[in-house]
Amino acid sequence: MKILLIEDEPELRKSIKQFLHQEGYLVESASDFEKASDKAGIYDYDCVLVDITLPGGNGLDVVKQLKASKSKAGIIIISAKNSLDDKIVGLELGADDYLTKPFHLSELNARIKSVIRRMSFEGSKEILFEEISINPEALSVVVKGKKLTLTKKEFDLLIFFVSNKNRVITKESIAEHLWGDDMDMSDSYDFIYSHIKNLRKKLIEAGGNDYIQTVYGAGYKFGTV
Amino acid sequence: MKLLAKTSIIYFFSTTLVFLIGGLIFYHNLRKIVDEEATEKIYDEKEMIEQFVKENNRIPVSEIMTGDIIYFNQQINQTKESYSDTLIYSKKEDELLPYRTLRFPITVGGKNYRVSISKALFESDDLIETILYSFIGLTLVLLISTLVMNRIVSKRLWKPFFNSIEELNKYKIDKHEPLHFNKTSTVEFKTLNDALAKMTNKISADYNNLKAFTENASHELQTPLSLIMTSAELLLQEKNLSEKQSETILIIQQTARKMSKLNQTLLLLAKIENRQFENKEEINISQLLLSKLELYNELIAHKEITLEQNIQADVLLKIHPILVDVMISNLITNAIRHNFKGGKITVGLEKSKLTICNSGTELRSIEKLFDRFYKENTSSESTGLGLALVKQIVDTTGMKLQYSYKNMQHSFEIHF
Repeated sequence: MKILLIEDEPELRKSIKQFLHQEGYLVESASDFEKASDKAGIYDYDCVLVDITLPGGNGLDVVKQLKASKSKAGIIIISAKNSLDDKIVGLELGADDYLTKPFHLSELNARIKSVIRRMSFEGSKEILFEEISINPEALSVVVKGKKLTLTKKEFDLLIFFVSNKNRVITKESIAEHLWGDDMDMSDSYDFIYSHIKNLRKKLIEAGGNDYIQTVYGAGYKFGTV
Repeated sequence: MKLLAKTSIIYFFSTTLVFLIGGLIFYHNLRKIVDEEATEKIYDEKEMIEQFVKENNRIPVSEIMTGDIIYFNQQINQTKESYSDTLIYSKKEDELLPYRTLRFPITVGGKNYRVSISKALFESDDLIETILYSFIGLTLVLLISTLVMNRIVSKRLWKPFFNSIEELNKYKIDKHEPLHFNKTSTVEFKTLNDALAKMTNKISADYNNLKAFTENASHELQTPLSLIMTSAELLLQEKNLSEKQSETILIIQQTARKMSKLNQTLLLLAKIENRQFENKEEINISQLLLSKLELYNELIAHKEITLEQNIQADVLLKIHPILVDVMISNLITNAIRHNFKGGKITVGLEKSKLTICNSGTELRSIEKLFDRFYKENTSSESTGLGLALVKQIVDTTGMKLQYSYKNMQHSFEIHF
């Protein structure tokens, strides 16, 4: 999987790049509009992350360029501007998602995976993790041939976990993923716990392994490691 | 007291005083002149009598007719000339009238006589009285007419001043409209208007600069905050972190997130103040309210709060979608956050009124409720900006917000 990261702030670019490497992506980056435009024109990517405010131009023009060249890359706009207009314009131009800075890397990861999944026409739309298979379109989960009945929140939580497998995920990023930006109440962590508890119970009851680990002091980890 | 009333009073008293003193002097002088005139006339008559006696050597009987009372009394001894004012009874008027009497000796044919000439003074008194009354009348007419004139003229002269005040009262700093003063030919008012126009333009420019600065500063802060967050998240993935290390990293990340939220809220406040949300759309408040309650459903259930809804269907409101979203979210989260475990929330929506009530402890200071960064409970997780945002939105969109506390219930009413 190849990703183009267009971000002008060097340190932020470095840390996002590092993170994506860890996730096993091949990452190329561009620091200004010109470089971004060049790379987007020459190479094919699975996903392009583009900042709106760039030295030498507007990130939205890169989106336009990609769409004009019928690129198959998924496009996610990452911007410090939490402005509805930019969001609407970006999505109308053909961007697949819009993420406001600052964001959790686990959230970025989940969005990238979701965009790539939606983009891949040939491949299976199923997400497979060990004995668990998830179909995001049908909203169904099958463990060892058994179909699970999950609530919408539990389903979203499972996808978020699987997208960020083997990584430490903070409660905060889970809360934001499930309830959006509005939810910044500390009480919400308590019922994240109950959702996790229910999900774990359902997975184990269906004969699956317990992949949800508590990382003391930090949050949770979903995985085999 | 109005300036006009003040000047009128000062004017009234000073002119009355001037007229009073002037009147007294005038009366005194008039009296003196009339008096001197009477005395002079009496002496004229005396001369006429002496002349007649000298020429004719007899007492005049009907030769001298002056209208005054003249007596001739034979005397043995010569008397001295004397002069006095007396009151003489008049049968016709049935009262004592003032007369001036001159007595002088005269010798006619070797006989001594005393002549007394009494001149009536009441005629000249009448004259003085008439003159004085007309004087007072004239004074009063003059005084009243000048006061009335003064009022009318002053009102007209001060008109540009009141226009300027009216214009100033209408001035709102966040509405970027320059002041429009009426043209005036009075130099003082022109100077005043120029100074006011200059001042308000300067204030407006400073205000806008400050706003632009707030927005830029807030925006620029987001990138470094992003970096802190992502770096912390990367660090959190390191293997072999102790629990304490993880906790510390988490605190860094959470704090950066909190700062960013605070920053975004301040930016939002600045933008609302700046009226960047003017594009109104027809919003179905009923639907929005239901979807928000759905979103917070779990949180409400978690706190074991009983939710009572009385929402009229399809209530529409023309407003910017972000503003109404932020307003409703903040009101609901506020009602959840400042509630008891096992408390109650009542949400009511009518055609032009939204009511959100929640159980909770009484506030220490109601006046500060909508202030920025005001927290009833300093240890609480809230930013202290939620209700300030609600107030700002309500104010800029021309809605009305009412707060009350009754039977352990906080009640927020929004009229639109």
